[in-house]
Amino acid sequence: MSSAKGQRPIPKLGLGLVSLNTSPPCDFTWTASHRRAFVDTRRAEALGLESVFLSEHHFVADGYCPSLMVLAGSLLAATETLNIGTAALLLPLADGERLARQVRSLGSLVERLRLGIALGYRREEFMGLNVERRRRGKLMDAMLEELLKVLEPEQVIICTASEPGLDRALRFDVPMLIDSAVPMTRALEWGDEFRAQSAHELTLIRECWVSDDGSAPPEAVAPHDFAFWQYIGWEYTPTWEKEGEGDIDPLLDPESERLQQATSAEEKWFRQTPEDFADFLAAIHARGFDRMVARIAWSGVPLDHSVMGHLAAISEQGVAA
Amino acid sequence: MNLGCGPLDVNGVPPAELAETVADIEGKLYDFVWLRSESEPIIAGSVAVARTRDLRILVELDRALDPLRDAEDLCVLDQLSEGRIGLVLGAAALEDAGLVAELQGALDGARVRGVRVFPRPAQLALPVFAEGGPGDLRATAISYDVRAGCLVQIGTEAEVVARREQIDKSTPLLLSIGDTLEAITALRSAMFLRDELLIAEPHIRVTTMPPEGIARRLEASDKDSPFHRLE
Repeated sequence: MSSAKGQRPIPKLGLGLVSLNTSPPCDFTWTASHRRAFVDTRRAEALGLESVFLSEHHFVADGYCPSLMVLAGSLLAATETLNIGTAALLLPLADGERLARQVRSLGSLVERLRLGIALGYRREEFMGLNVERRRRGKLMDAMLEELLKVLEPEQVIICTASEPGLDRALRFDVPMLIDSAVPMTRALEWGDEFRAQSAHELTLIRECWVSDDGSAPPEAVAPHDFAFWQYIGWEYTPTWEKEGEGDIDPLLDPESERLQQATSAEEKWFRQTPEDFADFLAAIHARGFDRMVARIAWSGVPLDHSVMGHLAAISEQGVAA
Repeated sequence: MNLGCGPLDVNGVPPAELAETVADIEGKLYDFVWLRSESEPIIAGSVAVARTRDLRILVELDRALDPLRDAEDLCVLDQLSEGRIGLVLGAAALEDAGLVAELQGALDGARVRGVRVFPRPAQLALPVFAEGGPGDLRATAISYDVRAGCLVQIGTEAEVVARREQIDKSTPLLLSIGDTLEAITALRSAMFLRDELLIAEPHIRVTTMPPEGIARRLEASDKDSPFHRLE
């Protein structure tokens, strides 16, 4: 976004989360989804955005990307100035030595890598990769120490949805990203606490939907979201939420309250007009956030909707990154 | 006949230089490039994928395999390339037949260690080649039940025939030849005279190794293309 004298400062603006998965009624093939990642990322760079963030899961039938370093390598090679971030690479599930080799293999491209890391939670992933889930915190600490030998501290971001993540970011003296699952009030509290003790970058990620009139996501988008939660969303539900609910997950029932709630515009989308969004950006910058990642990419939803489609309108609201 | 070049030792080669090199190779109308690295050749492959459009890319793993993680990386790379990836298994990768079987299973969509790898490759089946030295290719092919075939280095027509006869005809060969005029002539002669042997098998690939290693070329900062089109 262009800057101009006298405009209100806002955080660096990134987009995400690129995860490459497709689920009905999306008619993209996996190959088309991967091709679109190149197109969207190059467009984000051309529009002057600061970063695009990627997301990882393993062994999910919708093809959620399990290999962020491979994806990041391609996107870094396809761009020249855009930062490529992860939110998040699931560090305890990685092979530390392999990850270090991959980082080194990026050569000079690594300067634009922002490696957001998180614990991971899906039991299937820990089982398949033969990692003890109960040790993920200790593994995270040990692997983080090794990671900091091949990356600068400013390039490693603790992505968190819980307070131990805040503690970890402060303990290791690295940047922090607050996940969109954290309610806004709490995110601001954690942001204040982090900012009071650290000069490192502070990033916020929110699920955003920007439209001219601040209306709900259009009909073209909602069915994708509904179908995602109906057919595959339960795969991503934290295991502890699934336990004790019997053999059939209620999300498989189209009439279930949970499904309706999960896809409800009121609950899910952070809806704003360009003016609202600009005000929001200026407000969180004043609160100490350095980067805002607008989560606007979902399976089957073109990235050029929402924020990317309204950048000009947003920048007209007297803000500058 | 598909013409490629390699092995291209990309260990430590700066990404910009690698990108320029693979683009140059594609510009010279080679069909594929074969990337080798002591470090992480799949990452080199990810750079090559972003800077080429049609060039097929063989990635050589010459280390102990990590079946699920390797399969995930290769499947994503194949999707990013829209189906241009092949895998070469070097000697170190072939040491453990069990891991090779697990990797092939994971690439094929089978349940391995209780899970399946997604996404699947863009290709119906990712080509996998077992690199064969002077050893017994028949044993290599049978031991690993390789789907795609064996990669062998040959220099003369007689060697082509000898290698071909070592393994079952249903197992395709990826032939690596020197780029001496004699070798090229011999191979083309063999292909012409024995079309039932080579032309009839759609998976056969022919690589050409540059007269000097690409690493040495790059280290010497020779800006001239290390590759030359073979006519």
